[in-house]
Amino acid sequence: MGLIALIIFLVMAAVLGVMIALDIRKAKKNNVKYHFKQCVIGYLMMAPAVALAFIFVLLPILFSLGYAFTDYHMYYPNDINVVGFDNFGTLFKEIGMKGELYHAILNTLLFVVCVVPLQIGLALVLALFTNRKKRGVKIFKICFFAPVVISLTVTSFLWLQILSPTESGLLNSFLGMFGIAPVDFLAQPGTAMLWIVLLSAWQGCGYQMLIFSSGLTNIRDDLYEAASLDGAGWWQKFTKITLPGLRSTLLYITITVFVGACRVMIQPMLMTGYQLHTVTLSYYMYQLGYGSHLIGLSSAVALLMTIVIGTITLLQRKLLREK
Amino acid sequence: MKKALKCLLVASALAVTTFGLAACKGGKNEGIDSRTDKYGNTLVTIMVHKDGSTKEGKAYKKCVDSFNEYYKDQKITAQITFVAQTAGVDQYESTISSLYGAQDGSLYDVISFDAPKCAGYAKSGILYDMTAEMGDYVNDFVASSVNKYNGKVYGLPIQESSAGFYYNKRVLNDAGVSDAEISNYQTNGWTFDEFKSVCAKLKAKGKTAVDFQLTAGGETSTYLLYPFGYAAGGTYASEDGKTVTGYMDSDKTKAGFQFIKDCIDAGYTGYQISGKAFYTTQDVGMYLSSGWSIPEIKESYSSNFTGGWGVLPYPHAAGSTAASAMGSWSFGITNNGVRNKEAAALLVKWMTSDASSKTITNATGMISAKSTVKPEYTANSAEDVLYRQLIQNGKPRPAMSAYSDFSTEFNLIITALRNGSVDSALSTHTASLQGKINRER
Repeated sequence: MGLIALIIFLVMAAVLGVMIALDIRKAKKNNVKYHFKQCVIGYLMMAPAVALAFIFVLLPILFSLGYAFTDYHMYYPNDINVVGFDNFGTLFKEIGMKGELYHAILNTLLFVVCVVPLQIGLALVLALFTNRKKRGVKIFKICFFAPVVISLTVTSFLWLQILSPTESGLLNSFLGMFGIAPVDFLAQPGTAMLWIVLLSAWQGCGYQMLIFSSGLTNIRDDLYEAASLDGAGWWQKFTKITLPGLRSTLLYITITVFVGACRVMIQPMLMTGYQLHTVTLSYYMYQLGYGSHLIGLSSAVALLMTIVIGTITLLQRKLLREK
Repeated sequence: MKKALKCLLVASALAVTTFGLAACKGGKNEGIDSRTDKYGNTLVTIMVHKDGSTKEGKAYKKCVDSFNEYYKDQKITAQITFVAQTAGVDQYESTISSLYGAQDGSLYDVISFDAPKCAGYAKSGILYDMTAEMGDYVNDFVASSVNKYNGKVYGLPIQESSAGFYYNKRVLNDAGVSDAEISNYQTNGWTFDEFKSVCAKLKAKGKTAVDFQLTAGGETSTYLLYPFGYAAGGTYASEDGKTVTGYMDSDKTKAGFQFIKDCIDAGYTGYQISGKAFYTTQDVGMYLSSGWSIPEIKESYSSNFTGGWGVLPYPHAAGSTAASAMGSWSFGITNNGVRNKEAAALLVKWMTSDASSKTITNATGMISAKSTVKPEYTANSAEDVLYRQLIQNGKPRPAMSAYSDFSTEFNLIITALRNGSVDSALSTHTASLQGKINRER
C-alpha cells in the first residue's frame, strides 16, 4: 500500500508540474506575464479536491478496469494473474446458458424500461401541479419531496411492511376487507419487479420534480399569454411551449434517471434477497464480488455495464440534443 | 495543449493501474519471526466478528484479559480487535483479504470465522495448518465440530449450535398430540411420516402446523434446512467438495427436499407465515429454529407459552440415520507472515478452554463445543434435546471452497420449490452450482 501511495503522490506531482509548464508555455506564446506564485497557489488549492477525486473515484475505476482482465479472487490477493478476455467469455457463456446473469440483464432491462418513463412522467406531472401559483401548493411540494430525503433502506423496509405477505401487511389487510386471501406480491415472478419499479419511482420522482420546477420557471410567461391569445389549449401549450422549453432539463433528467436505474440494487436486495426474478446487474456484480469472492469476474461485469450505459447515454445525448 | 494534457492524464492513469497491479502481485513480504509490543512482550493479535459492546464481544474481551493476566510473567500479551460482521459478512471478509495480502504481520494472528468458510480459507492459505500445535487437544471437542480440511486441523470451534422444532405444548395437546407422544419423539426421534401425521392433526384443528422459516433467506435458511437432505440418506457434495452433480441431485437428497415440498403442498407450512406468529399467537404449532430462540422465548415471549413449550428433534426418513444442523464460529491461526506461531497457538487454546467456553456460551446461550464440558440439563428440556441431537447426529454443512455459492443455490432451490417440482429445482441448481465450483481455483 505504501508503494501505491508513493506512486500516486509522484504521478500527481508530475501532473501538477506538467500543468504549470504548459501554462508557462502558453503565457509565453501569448506574450502574457506569468504569475508563477498565484498559479501555483491556485493549483495547490485545487489539489485536495483533485486528490480526493483521484483516490476515491478515478483510482477505483482504473483498478476495476485492470481487474476485469485478471483472475483476482478475494481469498488469493497475492496471486493475481492476467487472463485476458476469459472473464468476458465466462460471462457470455452464462448468458447463453440462461444463468443468473441472463436473469439479471432481463430484470434490469425491465426495471429501466419501466422506471425511466414512469419516474420522469410522474416528476413532470408533479412539477406542473406544484408550479401553479395557488395557495398551499408549497405543502404539496414538500410532501412530494419528502421520500427523497428518506434513505432507500428505510423506504424499502416501509414498502416491505405495506406488501407483507401476511394478513398484517397493509395492502393485504385492505384486500382482506373484500375477502381476498393474502397475496405474496414480492414472490410473484411476474409482478415483483413492477412493485420495485413503483417504489423506486415514488421514492425518486420528488427530486426530479424540483429540477423540472426550476426548468419551468425559466420558460417566459409571455409565451403562454401569446399562445392563449392565439387560442391555444393546454395540450398545445404543453407540447409547443413547455416541452420544448424543458428540453435541456429533460435531457439531464433522462440521463441521470437512466444511469441510476441501471445501478438498482438496494431495493431488490432488501425486499426479496437474491432471487432469480428480482436479481439485477448491480446485485449480481455484488454477489460475484462479495458472495463468490470473484473480484476479477465481478469487475468484468462492471466494465461491461460501464460500456453499455456509457454508449446508451451518448445515444440519448445525441437524440435529445437541442438543435 | 489540450490533447497533450489528455494524453498525459491517460498515460499517468495507466501507469498507476499497471504499477498498482504490479505492486499487488509482486509485493509479497518475507515475513517476520514474531512481534513485540513497546514493553518487549510477545504480541499476539486476535480479531473477532462481534462488536465490543455486545454480550458476546464482552465475553471475548474477558477471555483475552484473563489470558493476559495468566501469561504476564511469560511476557506474552494479546490484543483484541472487534470488526462487527455485517449481514453479508462483507467488511469482515474484506478486512481479512486485504490484510492477508500484505504478509507483513498486519493480518491478525488469530481470527474467528464461520465454520463453512474453513475450506475456502484453508485452501487459499489464509488459515494456518495447526494440526501439530493442537495435537491431542482436538480430542476435547465434539468430533464433527473441529474444522478440518484435507484431514488437517485449521480451526477450533468457539461454541456449537443446533436447531430443532420448537413447539407450543398447548397447541399440540389441543390437536390431539399427547405428552407421551412428544416425549417419545424427543427421546427416540421421529420419521418424516410421523412428523407429517402430527402436522395433519394440527392442520385439522385449523392451525399452521409448522413454520420452516422458508423465507428467512441467506445462511439462516441453509443452516436450518440442509439437514433434511442428510436425514433422507443423501449428501450434497463429494468428499473433496469439488463435485455436486450426482450428489446434490441424487435420489436420496431429492427425498429430503421432497419432504419439504410435501409439507408445502399439503399446507402444513408455507412462505407466508409471519416470523413472529409462533412467538405471539396460538396459531402455529411448531417452529424450526436454532438455539438462539431459547432465550428469546424465555425472556420475551413466555406469556404465549403458559401451557409449556419445548423442542422436538429433526425428523428423518424411515431407514435413514437422523441428521441435525450444527456449526458455529471458530478460531483459527492465520498465515500472516509471522513465522512463530507459538503464542497464537496458546491464545487459541486459551480462547477455547473449558473456562473460556463457559464464559462465552453463558453470554450467547449456545452449546459448548467441548466434550470435556459436561452440561447438566433437565431431561427433555429444550437445551437437553438440542445438546443430545448435536452429540448424536450433528452433521456439518458441506466442506467446499465455494461454500457461499452452495448457500446461494440452496436458497434458490427453496424458492423454486414454491411453484416448481423438486426434480426441476435440483437439476437446474445443481448444474448451476457445479458451474460455479468449476470456475473456482
